[in-house]
This record gives sequence, C-alpha cells and structure tokens, in this order.
Amino acid sequence: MALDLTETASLLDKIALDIGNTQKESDSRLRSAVAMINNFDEHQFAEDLRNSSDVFNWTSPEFPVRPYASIPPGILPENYLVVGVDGSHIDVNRHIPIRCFLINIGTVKICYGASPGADLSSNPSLYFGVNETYISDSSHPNRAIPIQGTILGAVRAVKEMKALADAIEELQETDPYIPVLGLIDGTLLMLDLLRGGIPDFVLENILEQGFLSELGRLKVLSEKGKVLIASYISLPASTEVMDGVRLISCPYPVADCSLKCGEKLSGERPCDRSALNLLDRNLYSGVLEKGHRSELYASNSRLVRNYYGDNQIKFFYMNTGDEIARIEMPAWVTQEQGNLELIHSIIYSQCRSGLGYPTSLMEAHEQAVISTGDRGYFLNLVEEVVESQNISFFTSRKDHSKRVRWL
Amino acid sequence: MNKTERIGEVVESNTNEFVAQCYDLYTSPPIGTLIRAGETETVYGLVSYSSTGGLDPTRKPIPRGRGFENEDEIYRENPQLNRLLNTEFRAMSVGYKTDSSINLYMSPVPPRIHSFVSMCESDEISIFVNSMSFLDAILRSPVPQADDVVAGFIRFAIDTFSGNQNIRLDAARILAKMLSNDTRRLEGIIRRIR
Repeated sequence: MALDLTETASLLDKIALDIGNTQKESDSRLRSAVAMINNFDEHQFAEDLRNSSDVFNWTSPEFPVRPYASIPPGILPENYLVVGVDGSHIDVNRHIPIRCFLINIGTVKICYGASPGADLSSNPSLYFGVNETYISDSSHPNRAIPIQGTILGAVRAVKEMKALADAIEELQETDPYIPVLGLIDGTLLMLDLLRGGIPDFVLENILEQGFLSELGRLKVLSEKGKVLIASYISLPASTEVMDGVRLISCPYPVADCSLKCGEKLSGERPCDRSALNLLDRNLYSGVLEKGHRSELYASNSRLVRNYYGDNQIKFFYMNTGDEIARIEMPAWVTQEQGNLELIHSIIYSQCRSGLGYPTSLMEAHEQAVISTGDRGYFLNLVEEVVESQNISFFTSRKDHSKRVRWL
Repeated sequence: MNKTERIGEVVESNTNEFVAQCYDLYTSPPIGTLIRAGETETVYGLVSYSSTGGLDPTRKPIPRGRGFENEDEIYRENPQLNRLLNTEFRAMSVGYKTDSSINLYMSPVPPRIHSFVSMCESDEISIFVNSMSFLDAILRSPVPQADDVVAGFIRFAIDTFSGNQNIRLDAARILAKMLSNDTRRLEGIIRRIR
C-alpha cells in the first residue's frame, strides 16, 4: 500500500482539533478587522502611510475613500461581448531525449444581446530547441535560463494575454462599437517573477517585452472601441487589504515594524489581533452583500511600482453569491466613467450563468485543458517522431520504473 | 427544412445503420424520414432515433432556467450552449444508389465517415413509396421502435406528396400482408397513420 490511510486519518484528526480551537480566535480577529474598515478614516490612513512608508514592513495597497462600501451591480448593456482566455501546458520532461514544451490556449468569444452566438477554439503551440526553450540575455549571449516550471507558467501567461489581444483585435474589425470584456483567469501581478534567482533579463523578456507589451496592445485597442480588460481570481489568497488593516490597527505613532515589533513572535504583535491569518476575502465576506463589490484599490507591490508603468493594477473584491472573488484590471480601464460598473455587472452575470464562476472562463478552460490521457498521447507522439528519425527513444530508468511498475 | 438541404455528416457507420451529427442543434429529421448519405456512393436510410446531449460526454447539462420566463431565454442568455450541445440521429440502411438505379435493400457497404447527409428529392422518395417492400426488413429488425419508424415513414410520404390518401391505403394493404399473423401490431401501426 502506497499511503497508510489509517495513519493519515489520525493525522487529519489533529487538524480538525486545531481548526476548532482557532476558529473562535479567528472570528474575534475578523470582527475587529471589519470594525477597522467600517471606521476607516481616509486622511488618518494617508498620514499613517506617509509617516511609516519606509519602516512599515507590509505592502498596503492604496485604499479607496470608502473601503467599507458594498456597491450593487449596475444594469447590463443590451449588447456586449465577453472574451475568455485560459491556458494549459505540458512542461519540459527531463526524462525524455527531446527538450520541448507545449502550451494550449483556449479562447471563447460569447456575444450576448440581439444576436447571441459563441465561438470556442483551442490553439496548441509546441516549443523545442535551444532558441525556443531558453531565454537568453541579449547583452551576454552565453547567459540563458531554461523555460520550465515557474518561468514556463509566466511565459504561458504572456501567451494568454497575446491570445486575448488577438481575439479582441479580430472582433474590433467586425464591430468596433459593441462593448467587449476580455477576461483572463488568475492574477495580472506576475509576482512569481520576483522570486530570488530569476535574473533581470528574464523579467525584461517575459514581463516588459511580453506581458506588459500585450497589455499595451490592448490599451491601444481600447482607444478605438469599448474594450475592458480584467482578470478573475477565484478564492483569492491575497492579504493586501489586510496589510492595510495592520497599519490601521497599529497603536504606535509611526508603524515601525522592526523597531517596535522586531523581537515579537507572530501572534504577539498588536496588529495580529486584527489581521493574523486573515485573508482579504475573509474580511470582505463580512462586508459585501450578494452581487456587490468593494471600491477600487490600487496595488502597491514593488513589481507594479517598478515595472507596470501605465498598466498599474487596480482591483476590487466581489461577492459572487458563492464566494468572494478578486477582480484585477489595468488602471487605464478604470479611467473612463462607467467602465468599472460595466466590468462588475458583466462579471456578476457571467458568474450567475456559470454557477459561481464566469462562463467564459469555464469554457476557455474546457478548451485549454490537457487531460492525463492527452498528456500520455503527446508523449507517445514525441516517441514516434523520435523513432521515425531512426533515433532510439530513451527515458530515465526512474521514469521507466514508474511506467512499468513491475513486481 | 428544404427538401434537399444538407443537414449533417455521418459520424458512425456500419452496414445496418449510420449515425449523423446535425450541423445545427435540434434539426434532426423526424423518425421515419428518408434521408441519403454520401455524394457518390449514396446510401439511403430511414431515421430511427435521434438524441441531443453534451458534445463532451463527461459534461452533463444542468438545469439553467430558474428565474427565466421561457426556455428560449436560457439559450439567449447562454449562447455557448449551441456550441456545446449537439443533435445526432440514427438511420437504418434501406437502400443504395448505383449508376442506373436505386436498390431498395441494405447497402453492401456503409457510408463513409463525414459523408454529407441530406434530405431526399421527391423523385427518390417516390421510388421508395412505390415499393414499400423494404418496410418488411424494418418490421423484422430488433429495433424496439420499428413500428414507429414504419408509421413515421408513411406519414412522411403522405406529407411529401401533399396528403395523397392513396399512399395511406397502399401502405395499409402492404402492412396487412406483412403482419397477417399479428393483427394487434398491425392495428397499432394503422392507428399511428390515421
């Protein structure tokens, strides 16, 4: 037997006990956090943020005037389009003789209103060889980073954004006047690229020349017609607003984390009484009514400040009726009056028709997903291609032993 | 639906029957309709069964109409359904075309996959109406709805030829011979074509 389920079940019992013990404390912290938000003072917060900008160790976003507001959805336009894009990939397999990866992008265009219709498609791309599977430093050609794991995930995000821009560009050629909402699954903040060990030339290649360049393309398209771009994060694990709650709840005149609380353990700091282990979605589950959204926040992360330029990321939380979701968008989308309301009402409608998750993203995922069977079939195809060139297909003994599973 | 309109393509095929997928949702011809498959090696079939369901067999349709005034609203508010659902129909092979004639018995080879499926011309239908002996094979087939297929064909023929009542009488006479030892079954079919 691979996993001792009896032993595992007894381990899970300990988790259940722990959850029960901590729930009361968590509820108390949540009540405190909601009270902080309900009594939010815009000027006091701005002053606190200014006074402690260099010494406050958390990354609070720019707060709206009324973070406690619960805003209902507006009326849907008569005719509109939703474009959903999602991707899936097969990562580099180091156990086989060819270095390659596959990205499959699913795109869904749904037209609502007088002429309802839908177009669903998937587009696979295969990348192989040194030029396509490594990112090189243009100033030092001998420096190169393999595209796999986290970096491949980021490259896929670029391809998704490109597919969205391509789809919207195509739609604009047929009808530039109908409002279009382009939806992406997941965050617009490519924070994974800030992890240690990822060199600047990779950031430049993926973020600046890739992701932000495609966002820039969409911005140009938005100047020709009503183009709205947003990303949808289901069950978000962000704590940015809670970082702001930490600042609000800090009892010291200057929130100098290292000076005042540097020696304290997690759970002992004064701000922990309102924020420990709470996520933004926990906070907004106590604030937002069904279908309602919060006001708009602006991300203040280092990545956005240093790289995003015109594409500064703004976000709001929304009660879809089934969960608190986070909706992100580039700042330029929110500049025109009515756009925010449109994004809110369309996404809420999408969530209602998709039983809690936007229909367009659900269908884009269905187009993009690569099943376990297809992954196996892809490996077989690679094997066939290799052997058709009279090259013996080898695999590592580890991979072989996993596949054969002999007794 | 035009008489010779192309309605779909063959997606499963054997010598007894073939399955066609409709180009548009809910456009299957009624049971008993004579259709043809294939541009060159044409096989004729009688529609014996049709169904609509999810294109992906692992995704089951769910109720969506709560809060809507009528069924059309579900499709208007969920335009993707027309791409995710599909209508298929099954047709029993009843004849095939050679260079010079139409043979009113099972084709020795099934239609090819992706053969275009169309409604028949009235002159093709009249050949089948003039010699309804092919219905005997359907009555003897193990298909549970065989009687409905036969009755459906007779109604289809009467409609095609503007309510020609002679077709009904001829069909009743022929069926009486075919089912001379099973009057209850005969009565059942006659009841369906009145």
